[in-house]
Amino acid sequence: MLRIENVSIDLGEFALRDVSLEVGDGEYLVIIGPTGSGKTILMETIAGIYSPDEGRIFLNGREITGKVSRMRNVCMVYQDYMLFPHLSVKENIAFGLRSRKASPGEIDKKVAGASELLGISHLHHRRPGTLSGGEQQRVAIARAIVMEPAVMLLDEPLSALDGLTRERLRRELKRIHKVYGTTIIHVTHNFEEVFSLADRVAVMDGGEIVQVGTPEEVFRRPKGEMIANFVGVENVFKGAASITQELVEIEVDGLRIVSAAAGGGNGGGDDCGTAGREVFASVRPEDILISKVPLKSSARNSFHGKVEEIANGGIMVKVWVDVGIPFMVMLTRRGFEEMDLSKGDLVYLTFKATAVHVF
Amino acid sequence: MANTLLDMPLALPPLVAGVGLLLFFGVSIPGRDLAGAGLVFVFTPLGIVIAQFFVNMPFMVRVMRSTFEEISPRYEHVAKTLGCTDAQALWRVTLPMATNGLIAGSVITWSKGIGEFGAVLMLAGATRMKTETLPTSLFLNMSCGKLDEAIAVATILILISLVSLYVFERRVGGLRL
Repeated sequence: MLRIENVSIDLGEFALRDVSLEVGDGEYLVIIGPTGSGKTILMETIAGIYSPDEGRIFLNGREITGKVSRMRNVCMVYQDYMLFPHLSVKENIAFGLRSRKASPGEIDKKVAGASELLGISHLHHRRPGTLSGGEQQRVAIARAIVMEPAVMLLDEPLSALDGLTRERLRRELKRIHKVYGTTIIHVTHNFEEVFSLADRVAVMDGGEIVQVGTPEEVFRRPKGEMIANFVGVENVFKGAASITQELVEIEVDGLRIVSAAAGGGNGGGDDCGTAGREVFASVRPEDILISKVPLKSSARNSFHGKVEEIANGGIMVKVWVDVGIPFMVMLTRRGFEEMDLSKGDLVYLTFKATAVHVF
Repeated sequence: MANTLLDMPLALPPLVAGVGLLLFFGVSIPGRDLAGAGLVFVFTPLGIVIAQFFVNMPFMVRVMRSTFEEISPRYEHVAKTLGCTDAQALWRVTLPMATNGLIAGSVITWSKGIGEFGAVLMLAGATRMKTETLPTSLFLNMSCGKLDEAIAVATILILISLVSLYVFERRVGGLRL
């Protein structure tokens, strides 16, 4: 269990201001925030690369604030991998175990275990410079996970990868977390990673932690404009997917959302579309049509419910409607005025299957 | 301050540097003390070494500084999270990565040292067979009209420079000095 108490640090360009955070054993915490919000600095401070000006850090009951990196049992994976170019892949992965003076037999065993889990055993004799981005990232992760650290820190591990590789690696991270049970802190600016990986999410801005909670809590009830704008997408739902013909049906709380996203929406090709597989579906607020009478259209998604809340934001108006699950719809001001909506009105929501994004 | 001191010999004409060294080792008190202790630099082969070193050392420092600057500190950070002390991180990660720069820098500095004329002439003199370097030999041979010998020496010097430059470019080509 990691506890960060009132940590402040000032490095000129970047700073942390009175940051407090608790991360449970085996938890997967994702930290999101814009560039410069202090995410990397926080991680480096936890890892012991920087010493906080104020505040303390505790790991499993022991204070580690003043301790040097190697005494902390915390491993960090940087965004640009930082694989040692003068060592082979196998030597890179074994690096930390060699520091611990583990026996060659033990090293081989642990390296083999992690390599197999990450599918990089065939790369052992290659040099980092000859690997693709995805392969390098796996090696970097293997190098950290063989140490079986108390906390593993991942700094934007998937940001430098292309869409397909990113999704694959995301599934692998989930698998690693399950197999090793390590506490993981993962920094990103991609909300999909939050929903598919995080037990909890912390939002940072300007060196401070602005909100902490489960992904649903943070995204449905964002504390402030910044979070809502940062994500830009509301209406994210978790449900069980099943494929009918070319469409995917996601069941959320007894309601059925239909998506046209091909093959389960992942484009990954493997493991997709298994009946009952848990997925996330999201719909952009602007893609939902709201009306007082049911619309006759080819759109496959149609719900009705009561208007819960209206937020008049000037150019755009946000309307929250509860159809069994909460939806947020965005209208232009003109459209809103023409409809003359108020709280408690019964309305119909319609949106096309193509507007539903599944991940 | 340290930068200026280290870079000074780079801006100084080698001849002037040589005169400076001559005055220091020959006339000044610390120089005289050294001579008294048995370390004579003026007009001796030892002087050749000092002259070549003094004039070219800042160049080597430049190359090394560039080499180390190009190595991201994050490598050492990662090494430390993987169980290294500061010293171990340097030894196991940074230095091996700097090897190319070290070798390239050494080779090209050596080549410049071999070709050093002005400073060597001033401090070590140009005594045949005693303080005669390749450039000195070239000079002396030209002065007394031995053209063939002079050109032979010049060819050797050119070859050395070309090979050194090639090694340098191969290893650290593109290094910003």
